[in-house]
Amino acid sequence: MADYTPTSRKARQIKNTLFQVVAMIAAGLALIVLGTLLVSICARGFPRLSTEFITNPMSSDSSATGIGPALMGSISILAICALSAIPLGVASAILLEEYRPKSKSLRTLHGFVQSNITNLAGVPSIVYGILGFSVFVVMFSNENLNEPWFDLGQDFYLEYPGAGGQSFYVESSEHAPLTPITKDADLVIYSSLAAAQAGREPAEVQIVEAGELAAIRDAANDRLKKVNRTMKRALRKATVDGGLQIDEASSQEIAADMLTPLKDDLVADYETMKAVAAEQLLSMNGLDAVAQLQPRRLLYDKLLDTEFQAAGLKGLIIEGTEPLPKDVKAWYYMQIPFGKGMLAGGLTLMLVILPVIIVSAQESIRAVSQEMRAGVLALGGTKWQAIEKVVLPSAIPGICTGAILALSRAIGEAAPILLIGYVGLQAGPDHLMAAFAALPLEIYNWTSEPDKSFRDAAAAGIIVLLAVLFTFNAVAVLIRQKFQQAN
Amino acid sequence: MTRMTDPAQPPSSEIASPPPPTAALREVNASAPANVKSETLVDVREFNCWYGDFHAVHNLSMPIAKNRVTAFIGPSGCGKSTFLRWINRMNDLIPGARAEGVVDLHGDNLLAKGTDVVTLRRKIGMVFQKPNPFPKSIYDNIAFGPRLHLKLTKSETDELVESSLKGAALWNEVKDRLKQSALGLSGGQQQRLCIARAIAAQPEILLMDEPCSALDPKSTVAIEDLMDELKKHYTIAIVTHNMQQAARSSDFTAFLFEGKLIEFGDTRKVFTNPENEQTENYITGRFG
Repeated sequence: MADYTPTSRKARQIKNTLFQVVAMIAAGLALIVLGTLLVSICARGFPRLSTEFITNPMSSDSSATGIGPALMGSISILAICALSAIPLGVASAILLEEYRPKSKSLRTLHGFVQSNITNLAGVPSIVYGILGFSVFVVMFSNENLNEPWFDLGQDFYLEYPGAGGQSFYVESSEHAPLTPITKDADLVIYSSLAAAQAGREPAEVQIVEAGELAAIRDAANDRLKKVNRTMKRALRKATVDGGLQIDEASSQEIAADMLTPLKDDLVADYETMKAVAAEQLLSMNGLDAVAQLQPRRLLYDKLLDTEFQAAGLKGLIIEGTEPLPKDVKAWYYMQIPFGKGMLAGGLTLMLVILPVIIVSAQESIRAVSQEMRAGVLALGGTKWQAIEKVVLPSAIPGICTGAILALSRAIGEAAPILLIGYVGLQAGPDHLMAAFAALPLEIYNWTSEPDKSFRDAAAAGIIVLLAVLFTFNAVAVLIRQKFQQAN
Repeated sequence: MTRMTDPAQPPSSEIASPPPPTAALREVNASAPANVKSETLVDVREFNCWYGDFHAVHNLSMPIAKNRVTAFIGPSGCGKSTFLRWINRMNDLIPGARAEGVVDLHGDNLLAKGTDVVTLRRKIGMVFQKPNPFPKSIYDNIAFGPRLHLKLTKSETDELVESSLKGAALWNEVKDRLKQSALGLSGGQQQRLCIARAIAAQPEILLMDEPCSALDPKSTVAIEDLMDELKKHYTIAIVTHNMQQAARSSDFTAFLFEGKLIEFGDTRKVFTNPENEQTENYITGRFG
């Protein structure tokens, strides 16, 4: 060996130790910041956590406010996001990795697409929010969102209030005028919305003038009076001085006396009514009993019903009643443009995480050795058989891990759905286009409230959000472990 | 110009005496039926192929005999693997690779544009240099090929798996752990598994691309013995860097050098009495 000057051993050792210390300080600082944040959030949020907090809707009362609809909304848009982003992302990754073009111009295009996808992963999420708004919510139009160009899965009804607090429904088209009901109206009237939606037998409803209804009521009242008289007579016959306790046998007898004249009107209800009357008589004294007798009210309704049935009808609508418009949206309700709803929100989140999913799926697919593919092809398999039977099964752990980490990013995102989501909704979404609230938006809203107690609610909301995030990450770890053991 | 022993030659502690290159001459395949006339299965005529502008194989013409082992020898880069991979059109996957000429199997030119490569590869199985079992159970590995093409019942699959593993002399070693991952097998077992997998697809021809180069000597011997059995049912074409292997286990030998077929003939003749000086230099280890 020539005479080379050795470096200082001591200097190298010092540098070695120094770097270790610097690394430890950096890691320690990060841990301290994270720890402080977690401790302060837990201290403020834990007292507010309860099942009510998780199920209640948002409220202006800070002690009753909750995250129910927001949690439902977040979970729903995440489901839409996952169902759209994972198949699209994996398919794109397969195309980019497995179907590399041979011709030169296509290879340039392939490279262009590839570098764009990598770049898209770094685009700020508010930009995706605006993109999602113009692509999905308004679809580049400048029109009124309340009037979609096309919709599907929505039923329209007219709701007529009937006599006795009942509502009657008429199927209608979206543009039907809200005309008051008349006697010669040619309508198919359903007694309830459920019956209308199920297309069950329409109710036979009589349309009456206000005066006519009064006549029917009077007739029922007259009959009730007759019942009262019969009851009183029967009771008087049974009691000596109006103060006697009635024994069981006589209560049965009196009840029978009271109701026998009505046997034809009551038909099937006769026995029941008799039993109710007898029981009440047992517990009451003398003539007072008549005034308090419960069957009176039941009887009145029965009698009114009997009057209606005598007219061969299921209900009454008073002439001139104005209907209320009612629209019922099925869970698959679809409109174009999508409007500010769950589908638009979920698809916007999809835009945010799609590049991440594609890139991670590409990595996993690329990690499957070329020999595996050659093995399938040499056995006479097609390219798709190689992908389906060997490449994808080997790549699934990586794809799942990437997808779940991307989804856990999506659920915490507020910026992309800032323009699409709502704050303070009272119920969770019930169809694809329904307005939704989301956890990050709700939390942001609470933190900007002047009232300090709302900020405690925000802390509790953050705890729930973190719990969801940790669950996601745990699932990712479990999937990876399970597949690693399987292979 | 003298060189050391062929570097691809395996350390041969397991074989009785480590044979020097010339020992190949004494060990020439004794079972080669030199006097039995063999029938040509694949007829190669004026085969040329290119990688882009690089002319990899020039004017190759030779027969591949039915139910015989044909060995391709030659130094690295001589085009022997390339040619082998054209027989089942695996080179289609390589951008810029093209071939001309005729590779005739049952009267069809395999190189023709309209050839259905999927059906072709089913008839022509291939075993690669590095064992490549799928990350599945031993059973599923063997059943993989047949399942690509056939709808099999459980008992048919069982039967096929057993006969294929027996055919590859692996049955006794794995019959109790068919459901375990194939990745748990040793390298030699994995390679025999790949052979079993290839024969489970019931091919006519088995192509072996340096099947023993990643294996220890004991496994190498096992596979050479296996080839002797397999040629009763299949036509085998093998690429090897191991002179002894070619001499021991093949019936015909083709020596390629710089993309040209230098010598082709009965293995016994090529190794004992080569016509060409280059062949002699190569098999005696003077270059290559």
